[in-house]
Amino acid sequence: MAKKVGVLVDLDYCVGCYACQSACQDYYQLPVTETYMRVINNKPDIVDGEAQMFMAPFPYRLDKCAYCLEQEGEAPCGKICIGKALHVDEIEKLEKLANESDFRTLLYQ
Amino acid sequence: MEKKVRTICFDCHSKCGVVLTVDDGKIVRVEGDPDHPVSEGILCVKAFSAKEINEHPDRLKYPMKRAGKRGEGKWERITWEEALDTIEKKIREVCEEYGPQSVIISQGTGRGSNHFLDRLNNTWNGGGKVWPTHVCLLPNLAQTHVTYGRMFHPHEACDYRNSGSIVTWGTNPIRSRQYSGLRILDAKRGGAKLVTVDPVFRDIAAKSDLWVPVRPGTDGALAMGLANLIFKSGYYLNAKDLLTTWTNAPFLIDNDQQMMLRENAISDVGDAGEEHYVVWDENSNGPAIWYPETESFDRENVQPALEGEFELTLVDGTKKMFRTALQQYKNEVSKWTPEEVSKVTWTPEEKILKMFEIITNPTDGKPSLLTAYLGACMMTTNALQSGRAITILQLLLNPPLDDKGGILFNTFWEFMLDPKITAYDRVPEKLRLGYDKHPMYTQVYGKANIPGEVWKSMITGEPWPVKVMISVANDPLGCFEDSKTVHEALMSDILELNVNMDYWLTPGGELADIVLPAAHWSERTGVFDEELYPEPCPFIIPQIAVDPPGEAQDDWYFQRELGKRFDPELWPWESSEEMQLWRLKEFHGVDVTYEEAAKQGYYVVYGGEHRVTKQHEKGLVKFMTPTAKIEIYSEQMPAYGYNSPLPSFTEPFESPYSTPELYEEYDLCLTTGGRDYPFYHSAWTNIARQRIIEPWPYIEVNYEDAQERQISDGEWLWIESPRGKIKAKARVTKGIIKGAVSMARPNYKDACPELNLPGFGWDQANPNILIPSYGCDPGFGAAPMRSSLCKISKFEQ
Repeated sequence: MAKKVGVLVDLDYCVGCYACQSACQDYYQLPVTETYMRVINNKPDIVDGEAQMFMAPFPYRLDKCAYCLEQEGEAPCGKICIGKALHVDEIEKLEKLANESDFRTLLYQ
Repeated sequence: MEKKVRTICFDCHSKCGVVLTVDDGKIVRVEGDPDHPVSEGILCVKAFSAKEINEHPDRLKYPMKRAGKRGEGKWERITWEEALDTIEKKIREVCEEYGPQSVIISQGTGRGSNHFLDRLNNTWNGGGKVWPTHVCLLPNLAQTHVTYGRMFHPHEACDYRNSGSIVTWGTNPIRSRQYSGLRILDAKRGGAKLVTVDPVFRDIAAKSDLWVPVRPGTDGALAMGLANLIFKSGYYLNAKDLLTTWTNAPFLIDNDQQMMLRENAISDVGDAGEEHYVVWDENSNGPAIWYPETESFDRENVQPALEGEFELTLVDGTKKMFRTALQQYKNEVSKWTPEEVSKVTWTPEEKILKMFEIITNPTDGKPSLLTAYLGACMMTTNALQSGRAITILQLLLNPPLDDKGGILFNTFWEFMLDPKITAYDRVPEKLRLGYDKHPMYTQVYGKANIPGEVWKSMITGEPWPVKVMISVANDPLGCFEDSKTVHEALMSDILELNVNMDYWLTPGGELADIVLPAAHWSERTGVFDEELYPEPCPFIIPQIAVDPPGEAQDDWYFQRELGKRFDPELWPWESSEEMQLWRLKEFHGVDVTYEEAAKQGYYVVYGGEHRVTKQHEKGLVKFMTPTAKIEIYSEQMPAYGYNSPLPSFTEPFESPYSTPELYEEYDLCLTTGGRDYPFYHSAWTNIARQRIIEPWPYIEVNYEDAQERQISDGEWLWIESPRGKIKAKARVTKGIIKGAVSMARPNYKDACPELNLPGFGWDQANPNILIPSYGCDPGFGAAPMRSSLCKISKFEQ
């Protein structure tokens, strides 16, 4: 049985640029209103007096990510990411990446 | 049958490498090209519109001439031959009757066509050019050129990946040149600390360790305040060698004259001494003379004093005190305490101190870099002096010069202006509108006409009439400040032929007499401007992936076909491929066939592993200033009309402090022009794939300012300045300095029928309506797009 695939986002490096959303849309030839990797850009907030902002993609369909990974070897969304912040891979490998990183990450599984 | 084609997206200046998959003549997939030496495989949203743009029903397919009145919207299809015949005939007539100065060629941001458009401009010896370089790129380059004596971009040709701290100063490399965004984020991974100086908190600020909010147009004060802290703390002594050896910081100055002291003021040597400068030699405890022509002193073992004040005897016997340039700057910035800076910039003092702490404590002692490229020092009343303050601040931080982690001297930037390709040597000097108004722009750096003067001449015919305007890749109604005047000019009868070449019929194109269909990047070869890349600078050979619609042609075709009718020797090429190869050979010394070049894809002749470091120490790069040193103190600045040879701060022309009565009504500081992901300047609001990301024009309003005005997020607002009124939806945010509002660059001119979204034309939501051509930087003429006043009101008021 194939290992389960998830998505890891390096939160301190995602800039919310929508490139991954577009890449997924392009790969799957989805209409312009749809994507499997929806980028969420929240508004700036004040936390302990400092401005902060949440931005990250959200993968609606991990099964699509798994298929894409299997077909391409490396997910097109992660390949074009300016912050190298998007990883589509087996969950074990992503957990390892997350544990090794000294910045904030978000694991979808 | 699928094929993969390597090309370049040039929907913005990042020029990322793209691999298009083409099946049966149609684009089916878009991927980044990991082999591209600069973009390394990254892409942004714009590249993915390739298919939509190639197949878009609204693409201009054929040359057309207007069939009714100008702006009436009636068009008649013509052939390229007829179009070129008409244009040629008119240019000849106008040159005969009025002179070549009555023919103007305009471009916008200019990608891949700059050099040949210049060449076209200069083909009939007119040089009539109107570009937005009075606001964009050149204001930054001009002040760094005054300082370094080189045309390069020290704020961008930085080795980010090996630095210990990076300040993005009024610039967002994640949106405006992704290759630098990539490198800055890599630097962050390597431990570098990031600081963002900006009125607005955006993605780059969110990834930074510190956001330093500033009132729009006040960056110069912050830069001088940081210089003051660097002096007071002694940190500048880390840069003692750099400042003493490579800059004119130790040169003695006569501040009353705003000049450096000359040899012939203290020695009876006559005229020869006019070009020789004076330092105080600590070794011999007396003055020593610097000869720029030989780059040497008048004696051995000179140790110039970096600071201090020294008494010298003038030729007439009187004694006078002279300071070093550095001492003068130290004295002048001492008034910029954090408290004083805060009063001007509205930045909390603790943020100023925190910024100082970060930039003077870069990680692992690696270099501390500032980038203001396409940033703070471009579009304000005090553009160049603010830029100078930032450029000098960088030097006080002791950056490696042309070495790892520091500023890199990319000498091939001069390609951009090389007469071999631009034919600048054919341009008569004085035939430019506004020649004396902003000499630094018209006469030196831009070699162009002042846009405001061009419109005036179309409207009034004075000092001479502009009879022909040819816009290539430019919607003048979206491009320039003071849009209403541009509109009036394009509608005037004095302008007899208006030509516009673009992918679409833009609002500017609607006022044209002839429109020409342009090929998009997937449909053409031939694009460079490699000199605009930081490092390395690859020369690229993009491949044509798909056919353009109808008879659309690339810009080079038009330039070549029109140019050769006037001067076939200046345009000896038969194809864009030939022009590409010519450039590769003449400027990079690579002589290959097109097939070989296409296979290779990228040539890195300058830079990369061929890069020579510390070129200035090896005599390969000279600082071509009057002193042959990097000039902290520049006599050129007062010569160009600025108030000091050192940086200085002036309030924006319209501000709470410079125009307090106006401020009572127009009570918000407006900055415009900030970059958005999906669009580029005034383009792409008709493209569904992009428009869906930011469907409506918006204005960022501070949360508290919104509450005071009872404004809710998303509601429609009027935004007004003394120039005009536009509309946008409120974007209420905690991420903007209180008292300021920000409108991004796009003017939302196009409707997007696929998404049922409206267009706002050239004047409904266009921030440039609000910006005047006056109130600009004195010497350069940079229009104040980033600092003016406005007011906002709810629709129902």
